[in-house]
Amino acid sequence: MTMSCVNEKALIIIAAYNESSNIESTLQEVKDYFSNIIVINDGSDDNTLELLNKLRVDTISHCINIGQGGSLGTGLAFFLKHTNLEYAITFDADGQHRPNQAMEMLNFANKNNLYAVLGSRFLNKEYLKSIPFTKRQTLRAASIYEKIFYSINLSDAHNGLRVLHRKLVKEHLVPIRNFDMNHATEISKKIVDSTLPFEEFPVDIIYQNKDSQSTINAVNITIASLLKHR
Amino acid sequence: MSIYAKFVFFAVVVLSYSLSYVFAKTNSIKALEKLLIIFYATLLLLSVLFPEATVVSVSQLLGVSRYTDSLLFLFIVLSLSINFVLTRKVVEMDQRIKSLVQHISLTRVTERNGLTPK
Repeated sequence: MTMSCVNEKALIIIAAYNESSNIESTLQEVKDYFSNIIVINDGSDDNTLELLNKLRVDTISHCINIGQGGSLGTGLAFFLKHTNLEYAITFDADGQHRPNQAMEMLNFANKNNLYAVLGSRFLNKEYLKSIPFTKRQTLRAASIYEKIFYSINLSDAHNGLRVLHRKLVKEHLVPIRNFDMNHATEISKKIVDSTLPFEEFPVDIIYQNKDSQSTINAVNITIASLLKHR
Repeated sequence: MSIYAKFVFFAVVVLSYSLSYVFAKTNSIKALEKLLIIFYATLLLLSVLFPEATVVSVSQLLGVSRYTDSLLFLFIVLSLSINFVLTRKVVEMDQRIKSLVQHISLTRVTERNGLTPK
């Protein structure tokens, strides 16, 4: 099984942990727009791996669960070592992102010579309505927290949809040291510190019938960011 | 407990936490752990061999008026220090295991899919 090069620019990196209920539909949607896809099965306990093998998608499998940050780290390392593609796109396995918006972000990056385009739920008022109230407030608080403690001036602190240029990944992002959900702060911080041009891009998140990250997990992320190495 | 004793207690706790954090990136964490054990073991031995002199001097040093309080003081500091060191050790081990998992998974994908590194 080798990667075809229909889309010559980007590799979609999907980190999946116990996503048997969503992964098939997510991949079907993504395949309509992108041909280069790598799924990182992060030690799933359910039949995610069997499904991935059945779907004949390129897969890297962790023998134990190491966290989403670790999975993205693996995906980005694969992107650098085993492909010549120009962009990597991080994409959530739970189907919350829209592949067409990923494509729009990629085109936006190309057109404007950007090294990173980061999805944001807060740039379009229409998209804001779809975010549950508690989640919206938590994300806003997280943005303020990152602004104060890390000087990261982004509207959406933890959006998983990102378009990342090879140069940025190679010179600034890899290795990702935070294996847990705190990787989002690390990636944002590294992008801001790199001084390479980047932009935010309005995207919406599909929350209906999806197993989203618990809002209370923000406590874990905050404490981890305070205690761990930066 | 005097204000001096409270200050010493706070300083010792912060110091032990900071040391565990600073040494976490190196193998010195093992040395730190051994130093802590040797320090407290020596103190225990001295308190048995020379109970009056040790307990009095330690109590004075810590700013604690009663001898029994100094034992409690040392017990709490010892517990916290060991906790800090062990927690840091677990975090470091966790990072190493996860890095290993990443490395193995990347090696396997090359073998299985036959993808040629550029």
